[in-house]
Amino acid sequence: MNSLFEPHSIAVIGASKNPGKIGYKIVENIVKGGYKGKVYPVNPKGGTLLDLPIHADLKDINDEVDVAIITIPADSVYEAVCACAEKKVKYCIIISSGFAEVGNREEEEKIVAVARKHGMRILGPNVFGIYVSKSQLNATFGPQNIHPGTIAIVTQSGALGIAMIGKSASDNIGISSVISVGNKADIDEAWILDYLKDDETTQVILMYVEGFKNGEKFIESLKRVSPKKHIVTIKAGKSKRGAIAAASHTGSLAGSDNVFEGIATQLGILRAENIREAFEKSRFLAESIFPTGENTVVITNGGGIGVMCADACESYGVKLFSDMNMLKDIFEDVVPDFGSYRNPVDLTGQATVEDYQKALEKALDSEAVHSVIALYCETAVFTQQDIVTLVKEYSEMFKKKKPIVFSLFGGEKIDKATAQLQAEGIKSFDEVYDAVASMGALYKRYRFMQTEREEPDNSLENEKAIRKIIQDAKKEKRNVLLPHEAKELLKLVGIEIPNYRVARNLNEAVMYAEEIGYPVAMKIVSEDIIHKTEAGGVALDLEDAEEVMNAYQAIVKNAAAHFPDARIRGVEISQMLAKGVETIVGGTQEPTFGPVVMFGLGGIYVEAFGDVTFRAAPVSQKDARQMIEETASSSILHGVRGEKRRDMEKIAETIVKLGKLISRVRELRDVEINPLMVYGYGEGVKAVDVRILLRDIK
Amino acid sequence: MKKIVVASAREGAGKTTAVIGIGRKVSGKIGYMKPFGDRIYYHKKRLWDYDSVAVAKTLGISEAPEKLSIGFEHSKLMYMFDREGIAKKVRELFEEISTGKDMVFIEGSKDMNYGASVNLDSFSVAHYLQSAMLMIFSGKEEDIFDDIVRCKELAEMKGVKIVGAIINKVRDVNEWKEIHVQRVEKEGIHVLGILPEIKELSTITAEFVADQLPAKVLAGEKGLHNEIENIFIGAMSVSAAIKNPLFNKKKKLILTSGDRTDMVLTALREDTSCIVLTNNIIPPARIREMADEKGIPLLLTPWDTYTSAKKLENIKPWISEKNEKKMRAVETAFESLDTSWIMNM
Repeated sequence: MNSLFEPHSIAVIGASKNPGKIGYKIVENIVKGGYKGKVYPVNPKGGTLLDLPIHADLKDINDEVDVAIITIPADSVYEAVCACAEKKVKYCIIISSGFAEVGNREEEEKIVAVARKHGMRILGPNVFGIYVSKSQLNATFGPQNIHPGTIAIVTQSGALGIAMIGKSASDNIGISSVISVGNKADIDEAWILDYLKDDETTQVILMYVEGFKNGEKFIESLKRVSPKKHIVTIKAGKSKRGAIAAASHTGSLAGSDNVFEGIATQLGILRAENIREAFEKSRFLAESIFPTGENTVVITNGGGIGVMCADACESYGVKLFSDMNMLKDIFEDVVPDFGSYRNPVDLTGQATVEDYQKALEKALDSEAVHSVIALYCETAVFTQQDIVTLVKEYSEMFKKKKPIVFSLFGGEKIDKATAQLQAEGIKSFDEVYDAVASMGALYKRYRFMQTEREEPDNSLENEKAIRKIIQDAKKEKRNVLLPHEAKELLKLVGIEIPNYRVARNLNEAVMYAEEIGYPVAMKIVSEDIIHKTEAGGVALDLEDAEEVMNAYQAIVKNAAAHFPDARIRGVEISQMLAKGVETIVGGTQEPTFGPVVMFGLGGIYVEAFGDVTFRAAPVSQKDARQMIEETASSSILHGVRGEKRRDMEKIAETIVKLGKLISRVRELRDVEINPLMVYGYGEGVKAVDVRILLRDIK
Repeated sequence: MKKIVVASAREGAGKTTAVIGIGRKVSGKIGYMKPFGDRIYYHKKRLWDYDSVAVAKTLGISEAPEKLSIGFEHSKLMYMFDREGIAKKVRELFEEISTGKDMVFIEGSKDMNYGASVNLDSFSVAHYLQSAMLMIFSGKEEDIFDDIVRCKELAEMKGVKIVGAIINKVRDVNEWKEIHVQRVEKEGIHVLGILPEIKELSTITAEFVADQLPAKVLAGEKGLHNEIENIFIGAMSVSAAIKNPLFNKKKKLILTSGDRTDMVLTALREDTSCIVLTNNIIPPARIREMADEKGIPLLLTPWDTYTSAKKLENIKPWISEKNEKKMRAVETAFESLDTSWIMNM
């Protein structure tokens, strides 16, 4: 049992007799919400509040206090927290604002320090409180009429959280708890998630987040919670990563939103663009049973809306049942001659309540059908009550057997029916895309739960030798590895690279080219020249000694002309590889989420299409395969127009190896293989070019 | 068949211009070689000297430009030839080039020392071919006097004859004629001509900038031949820029970051020859369309504004056969030059 969620006693420091004050509202909500524990208002002025005696001082309370709620001005909060610590309060909820959110970080840190010293935990500051249905505890200054249910709301924004409580009440959505985390000075989302993971009253966690203080900790927590509870997130703030972006594609493409998207997929977290969508998905997940398979049937009375629904199913990953023989067997009897038993099952505009009932019953009874999307376009055949009754009855009948969503489209009659259903706590959608989005969310979770999770291996071979390369670069005060160092590092990780040598003069260049074998590629080696191709520092496909000599002279002269001050360390001669599919594999220390890996279509297309996907590192082979499949360009790797399928296993292996590297060796800031040349199935991959940046040396 | 090594003490004195100017004046079939290539052009795995192309095209030379040079970089020459080897190679090349020609110009390396360590400096080349030398000098008077003395010593050391000198890019021709010529003659060097600076040669075009930076042409291709006489770095606000007299000059290049839409828009409304956009930031489509309409090239570089400005500063104008205006200016400048000395060689 956790005392924050199930406290025996609560003290409200700053309790007020003035109904306009937060200190009043909180006590009122606790009392009127039916909280069964003890409530101790505290205010030096004393007196009574809602028939409760007001204690002048916390010390005067002759009882243990589990939770203290502090509503006094910021400059007095520290003192109050000290008093709580002395009283051995377990949790302090600091409603007061005026701390880190306005730059007063120091005061906040002081408060946390004293709390930690006494083993006390802090929720806030800058929060609106906490609501817990199982404790009948509404310790917020928000609305009172919260419907108990199975959705837990965790929010960083106070105002939005209060508004969400209001919306849940008006839409008849049941809530298990609402926790506002505010400045997250101590308790953060990760801690709350870990509690909710084992909370029997919660099925779905709806989170509104703007940013993470410790993204890695949050990810670890999500990994534990996601297999047990549905998590729907609204993440605001899609800003791109800052100034270092230009240094690598991985860095520039790793806007925190792209990364979060990848992590959400990795961990089976659902995302919502807005609050309405978040509520709809959460509610559907909370109320619906899991499907037992992926055969979805659409039942409709309108062809047009049926087609729209089929499109929506494709967009949201809902698979339409397509076995025509079985569909015929199931629905032939209930579909009129001019209708269609093909999915969508079209009952036609003349369909009556009975026709819908028969069709829905057939779908419910058939083992081959796993979920249903029922569409209704307003016709004269139905009355408002017919609609309400149909939706109500069949929602109930399906409830414990199969998932079903209703989408009703029409005028006044439909609006009234929807409102009536809502009042009775039954959800129907007016927009078919919204209905399918919710079904799609359920299927995402279904697939996540069906997939056997593979723990990524985080062991790294040759770690000592890898660190030695980094140390050597650091000694020279470089934060970029020279190409040959980067290639050596890749070799140590077990990633295959083309043969190469670094020539310091033309003799060596020709000698190495002969040794490696023609054709070769040449590239200037200098940490001072970043855009080597643009600076004329690269020559490709050189087929004999004369071409090598020409290229060598051009490269050296160009470097001297364009970058006279650059330190030239030589010219790299490397094996010119056969053409394959150019992909990009990268790893970066994302400022919020820590180490992440990236995969996408590489070469010159990276910037143009940005067709890349991210995961938190380390990743399993399964994660890596999913990353490949997720990109729009995976079809190229599967082989288009008669081409052979490519060696996706080896790409996945490379992603896994890079994931281990970036998560184990935190001194690396960016590792980017571009291109990673991918050959036919069984023929492997080769890292043509690699760029490795180190964390800045202070 | 006559032959002459055209050399200079310092880089950019005007050797190529002199070859073209004199070459156009003399009659007969002309040959040309530049043993130590310098201003390189690397394309499709072939390497040649930019000046060689200009000379070849202007003087109707049929040999492929990559055949006119032996090497472009010390390391290659060191790798391939010893002293005897290089002399042999120079003579072989000359044999090839001079067949069927009435006069052959051999352009020396960029300055009087360049190539000495690989035995391919201008004086060594003249020595291998037993050719007379024509010296081109330019710069401050005192530098020229120093150079003349040193060059004469070098020529004597190598046992080659300097037929005379052209003093090039002179600001005040009369002053030279009246005061300085005597001093040069006194050093034993005959002054064959004093030529003023050819203004047209110092201008560069947007295309040349795109080539030399190098930069990618994003839009406004029809203005690639626009001439540039002024460079303005748009690092301040637009309101401050428009108060700057340089910004209001014609034929200007504006250098600014690709995300300075305000600066680019203002520049597009002005008499601007081209705009160099830095940091690899591509401006919005409407700006590119406007540049196309106005014929003002937008040139994109991956470097930051400081690096791009430095690189821009290093761009020295080269002569190009494509620029007829420049070619006409060279012809006019060399019209007055007495070339009777060639007959006496």
